[in-house]
Amino acid sequence: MGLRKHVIMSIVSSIPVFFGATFITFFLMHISGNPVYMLLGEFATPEEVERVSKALGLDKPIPIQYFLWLKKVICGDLGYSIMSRLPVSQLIMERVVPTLMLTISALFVSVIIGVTTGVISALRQQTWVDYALTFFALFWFSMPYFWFAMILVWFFGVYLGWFSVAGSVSLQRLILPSLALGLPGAAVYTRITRSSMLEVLNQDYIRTARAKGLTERLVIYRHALKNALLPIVALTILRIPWLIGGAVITETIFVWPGMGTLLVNSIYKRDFPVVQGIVLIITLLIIICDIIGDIVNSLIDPRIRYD
Amino acid sequence: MRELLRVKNLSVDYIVDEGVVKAVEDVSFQMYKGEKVALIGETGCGKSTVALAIMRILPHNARVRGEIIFEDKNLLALDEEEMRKIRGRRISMIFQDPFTSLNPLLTIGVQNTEPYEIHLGLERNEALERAVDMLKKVRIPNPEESVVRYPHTFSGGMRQRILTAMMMSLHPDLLIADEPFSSLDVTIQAGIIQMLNELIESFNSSLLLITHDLGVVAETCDRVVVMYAGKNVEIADIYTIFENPMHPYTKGLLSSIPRLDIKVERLPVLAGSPPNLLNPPTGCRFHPRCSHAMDICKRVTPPLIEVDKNHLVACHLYSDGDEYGNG
Amino acid sequence: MFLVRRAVNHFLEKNSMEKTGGRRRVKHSAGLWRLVFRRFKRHRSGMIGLGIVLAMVFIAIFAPFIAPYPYDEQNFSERLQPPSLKHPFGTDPLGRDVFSRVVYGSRISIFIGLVITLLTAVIGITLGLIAGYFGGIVDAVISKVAEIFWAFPIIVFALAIVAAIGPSVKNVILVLGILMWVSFTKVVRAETLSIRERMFIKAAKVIGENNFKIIIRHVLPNAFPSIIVLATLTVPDAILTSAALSFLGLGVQPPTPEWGAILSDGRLYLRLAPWITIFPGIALFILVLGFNFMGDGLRDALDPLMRRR
Repeated sequence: MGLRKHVIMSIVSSIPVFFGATFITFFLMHISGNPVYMLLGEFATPEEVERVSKALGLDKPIPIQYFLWLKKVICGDLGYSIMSRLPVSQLIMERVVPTLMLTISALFVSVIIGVTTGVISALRQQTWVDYALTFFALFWFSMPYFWFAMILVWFFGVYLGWFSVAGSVSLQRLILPSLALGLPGAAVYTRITRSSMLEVLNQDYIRTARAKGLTERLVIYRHALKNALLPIVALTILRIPWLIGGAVITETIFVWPGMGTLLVNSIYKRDFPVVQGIVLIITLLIIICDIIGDIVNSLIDPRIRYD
Repeated sequence: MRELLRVKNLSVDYIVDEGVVKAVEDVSFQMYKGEKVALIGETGCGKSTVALAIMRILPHNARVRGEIIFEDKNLLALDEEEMRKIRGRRISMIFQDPFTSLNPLLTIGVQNTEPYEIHLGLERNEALERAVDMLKKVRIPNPEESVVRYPHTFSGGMRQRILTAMMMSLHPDLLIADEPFSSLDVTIQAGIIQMLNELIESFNSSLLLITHDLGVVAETCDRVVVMYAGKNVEIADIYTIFENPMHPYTKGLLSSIPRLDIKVERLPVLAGSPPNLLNPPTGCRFHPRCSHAMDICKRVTPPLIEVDKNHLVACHLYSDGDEYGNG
Repeated sequence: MFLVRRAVNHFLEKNSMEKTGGRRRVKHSAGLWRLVFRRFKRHRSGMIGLGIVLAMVFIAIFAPFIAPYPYDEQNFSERLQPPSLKHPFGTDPLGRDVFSRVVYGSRISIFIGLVITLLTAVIGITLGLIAGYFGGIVDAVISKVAEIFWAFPIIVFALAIVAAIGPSVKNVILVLGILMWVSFTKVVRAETLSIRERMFIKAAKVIGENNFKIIIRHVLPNAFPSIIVLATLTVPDAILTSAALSFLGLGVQPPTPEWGAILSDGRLYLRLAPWITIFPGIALFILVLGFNFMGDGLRDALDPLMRRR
């Protein structure tokens, strides 16, 4: 089907997911406990509770609260943090950039390491290099990334004392968390690149290229690689949400001031609006990535484009 | 006539999980300059493998033995770099499926200029000129425009022409065509055959045509090599093959062609099916399906011997010698 | 436990195959299964994985006999001690023996992993059957939801939900079990669709057999290899995610010695007592590695079966 139609379909079917995700979060947050108590303390009088609840709009039935909230969101108002009284959108904005920095550099690490090892693995198929790299991929794939993060903190921060472990944003401080998030993530790339490359190398057009008398180097770089890396691009776009998820814990461990730490802290403190806001942003992001991934897929492959 | 290619005792094994597939065993034949030789046989009889072996682009689980002499050099003994210089330049190959044989992500301009760039070291512009020239020769309409297009925008027949142009760019001495017509519409086939013939003749190249289509063979070729289950069973020139086939398999093959002038109730069919090459039959590989099979056929592999001028057969019916085939 | 039984079956089948010539497996030819077993044995990492998993299961089962101390025995005079003969993995801030806690922790991790996988498999398979069988809108909806769930960082969602409904083992299992269904659905849906294409379903429909029964009877055996591989690879994923949740304090509650929770303790004492972080992490890593290796080996070994489709 045509590109435009495809995109519209994507958007339309994403809508229920969007509502579903945000509503569920909303619902659960609200039945779990009244944040008013956290604000006022346990010894608040019933009148005070009622007064604050009314002020925060917490006395209405939940579905209505949800729609009210939605209305505000569409106008760009994500509400106010219960804890700090600051606008949620402002809180999130402060944190978006650091999280993006971390996510992108981790992605960078993953892709560079993963794709390179995947290609080498495919070219040296069934030699010891291949087995070693495949083993490594599995090794990193199984690595608990939060533990690895802590080991990095301990080894480089505590033991060697090289990196500071305070909470500032700096390129130097970005290295460790990027590795912590990027290395385990590389494994997926290794495996997919390898199988994609192998599949491509088995194709008839590669045989044609060889039959022409092209150098092996030309065959690989000009003919094989492009075709093999096609699926990688789409994969990368879809990996972004995963990276954000991983970033949540990684940020916490490295005390990196991004959305992740904000989310975790807000959950502890029952700061609904903030949690709601972050989940919203992430859900939106995923849907966008999904759609963009679809588009990119169809654009990159000239065959599909002409369909 | 000058000898161009001599395949001597070529054997190819494939190593697979279940064991060893003896795809090609002890195949020998020659080709002369300017000849058009057909390599015929059923699917799976090893003809493609022979072609790939000559080009040395077999998969990495293949093991090759024997000799392939081309211009006084054994191709199998050359190192990779020397072989690479020969591929596409002195010996070329076009493949069966034009839909998958061209790289979908590169324009045909890029793909068709590569031979010039790599083998002759030409610059892009000059190579492009020549490529466009070749495309004209294979009758691609609007070649100047076509070079910036991608393969999938062309029909199957066109793609086969593009492929042929690509492979004949440097006027190779030998073109191997592995079933180039099989994936194409019958109506297109005729055009392709004609184009191929024209090119071959105008460049004075030789052709090794691999096919199971006997009609095309009759029209086009000078000599025929018949293969069965990895072995070659008969070699003869085109007239002899049709008028006086000697090997039971060849006879069976030819008699199963429907004829317009004779009415038959049922087409004769060769009983049985091709053997599993993981575990081929002992002795003559055709003996399980042969109506003339004798005791010796089960035990001893018949050697390829010349029974007439330029007519070779590998069958015990014709080798009146001892166990070792000495006649 | 499930895996022990499976390992025992493996050996039983091998023996009975010799005796009955493979008649135990009725649905596929004996030769094919023999090939599968042979291939698995040859896969070195697969065998290593199996070994690790079996070892871990053994440790989990016999934890009380292996651990020198109860996991919650506090001993303030011995707090924060580095590894020694008496405490091979050192002690934690409450004086508990880390080694014992790690040993007991294996029970929890394995248990959680298996239960989550079971739950998620049931949900995923059911959804896959529904999507494949009904097709049309139902399929379109389920597939699209699946596509988006696939990209979802489950941990973010799980975080929010578990925090909301209260941190506990039960809730972690429930939430993760419900969220991880996508892979199973994909596999089963594909299989269901391909079965639906086949003629004999249409024929049986004419005869009037119960459609759903047909589907189940044909889809499940065919999808079996893929499901098994998937399950083996879902367990470590579940274990890791639940450990991450516990690490954030949203899973098991103290003093339960779940590895993620111990790591969380360890974080505060990273400078003073890194052993609290190092050892449980290694255990977690090895367990996950074991399952992944095993799953990888299974996938390679079962390839001929899966390729037969």
